[in-house]
Amino acid sequence: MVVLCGCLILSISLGSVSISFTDTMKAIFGAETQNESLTYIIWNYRIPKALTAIMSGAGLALSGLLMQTLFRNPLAGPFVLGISSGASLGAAVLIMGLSLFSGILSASVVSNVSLALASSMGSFLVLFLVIGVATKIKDTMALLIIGLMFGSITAAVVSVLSYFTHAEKLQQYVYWTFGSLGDLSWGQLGILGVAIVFGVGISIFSVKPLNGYLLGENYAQSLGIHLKKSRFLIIMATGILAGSITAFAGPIAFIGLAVPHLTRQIFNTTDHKILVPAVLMYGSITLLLCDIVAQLPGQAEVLPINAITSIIGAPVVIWLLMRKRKMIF
Amino acid sequence: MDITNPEKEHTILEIDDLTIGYENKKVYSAISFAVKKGECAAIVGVNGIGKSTLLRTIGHLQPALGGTIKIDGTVISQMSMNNLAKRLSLVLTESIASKNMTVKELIALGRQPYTNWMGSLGEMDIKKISEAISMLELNHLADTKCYELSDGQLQRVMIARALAQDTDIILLDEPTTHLDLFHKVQILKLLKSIAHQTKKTVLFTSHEIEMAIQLCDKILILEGDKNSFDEPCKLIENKAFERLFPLDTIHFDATTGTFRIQK
Repeated sequence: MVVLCGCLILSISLGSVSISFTDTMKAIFGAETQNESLTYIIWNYRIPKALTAIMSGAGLALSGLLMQTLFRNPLAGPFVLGISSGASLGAAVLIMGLSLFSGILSASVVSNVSLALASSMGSFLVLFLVIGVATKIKDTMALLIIGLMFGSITAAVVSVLSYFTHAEKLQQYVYWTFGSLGDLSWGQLGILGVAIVFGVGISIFSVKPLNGYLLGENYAQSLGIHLKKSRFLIIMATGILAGSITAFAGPIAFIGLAVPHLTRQIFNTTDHKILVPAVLMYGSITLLLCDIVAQLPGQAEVLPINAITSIIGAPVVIWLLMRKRKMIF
Repeated sequence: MDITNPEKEHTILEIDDLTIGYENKKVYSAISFAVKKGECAAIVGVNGIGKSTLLRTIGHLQPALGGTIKIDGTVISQMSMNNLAKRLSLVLTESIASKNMTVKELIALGRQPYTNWMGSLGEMDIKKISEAISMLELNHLADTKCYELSDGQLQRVMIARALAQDTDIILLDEPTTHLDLFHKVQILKLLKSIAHQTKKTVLFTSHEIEMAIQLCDKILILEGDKNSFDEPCKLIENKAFERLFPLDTIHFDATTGTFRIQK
């Protein structure tokens, strides 16, 4: 918790425009700063960005944990069900697809809001397809494969679109895939917040079935757990979390896969009563740290967040696994 | 339950004209037998005859194709999932998905049907867990992680988990596979003492027919077209075991209760 607060303040005080630590504190706590624009930057750019990082990190890490437990597979992440592919399909159709039909129109249509809308529509389209399938089939592993297949289909459609599109549209799409924590208005933050709270709430409600799933589905059922119902809830929570985050911040990789592993290594437990709050915490901290690095303190350039999460995160996980010599799952 | 029904010979599990199998493949039909409270019973038969399918059907992991399964007079398909979980627990052959739990944590999961929505353990839960741990002599292993256990120890932990679930019936699917002779005997003797001491009904599938003859109160023999269910000595009298395997390969010696290879 302390680390989280520390990272939060650090993240707010660091950015393209250098603002002194005291000024940052003054701005946060409403005191007069030397410069009105500093307060403006902090309140309308840095704090929303830091909050986005906290919520996205927490949400992605939690949905990763849910998927890893549901599929009992350490390689599962928030996007195994094709949610991010759905989002990228939505974004691709908006950015590249529209330009194929009317080059003039699309230029005005593509904005942050419409992009978020398109990608969330894409991810929810895939999510509902997956949930529809999930209620039909009994085997959870088949569901995993079906999710991957949905992912392949959407990825293929995106490739076809990018093949026919103009270079600048393609570039715009590629920029979207880099992910971005900035540019969220307070209103958008509110929507994201509601979605995250909803997703976290369902997850907390599912702690008991999640623990039951640790024994395998048959044992879980023999303990009185409704497999279909709990599976539906878990997929729903993942979809809401990962879908809304991807819609607003782009497909941020790695956090969802790595943070649950990191947390299991540190806490050395599989009890979801501990794991759920722990991954929320570590997810926020990790993404905040990545965001701080991505901002390149003191520089005007901002690196793509999606690259940073993997560049920093992957070696950490490799190091942890090497040190423990044993994969704990 | 004991107070309201002091009758010792109380039938707890009743199987009537049961047909088991999968959607388009019948595995076995017309199975009928009844097990009493506190009895230890084995299901034997050759590979692929349907022992596990029968056990999974009784455990409600797959639907029955026909006939009824009653626990204490109630048809199991009419019981809620949670109520069934309070009456019937399982020990399966499949390995558990996550072994990064301590023995105690795993056994505690057996209390899920009784705990609140968060799964917090109450006083009663903790008592049942420690009873199960000491009954299976796992005290020294309580804080060991499951991936560090041997097969025999893990099997005892799984039985302890089922015991902590505190059900009338414990079903076990081949509880002695992968174990050496000593551990096979150890597990089977444990099952018998669980049945007799705690008055729970223990029903398990097994290939250890000779041991089952010595240890079990009742044996169900699945032969394909018919099945026999009785006390082991009566089954021997009726020459039920002799029909189990082809006579030119294995023959049953009724005096010693063992199988002999035909040379």
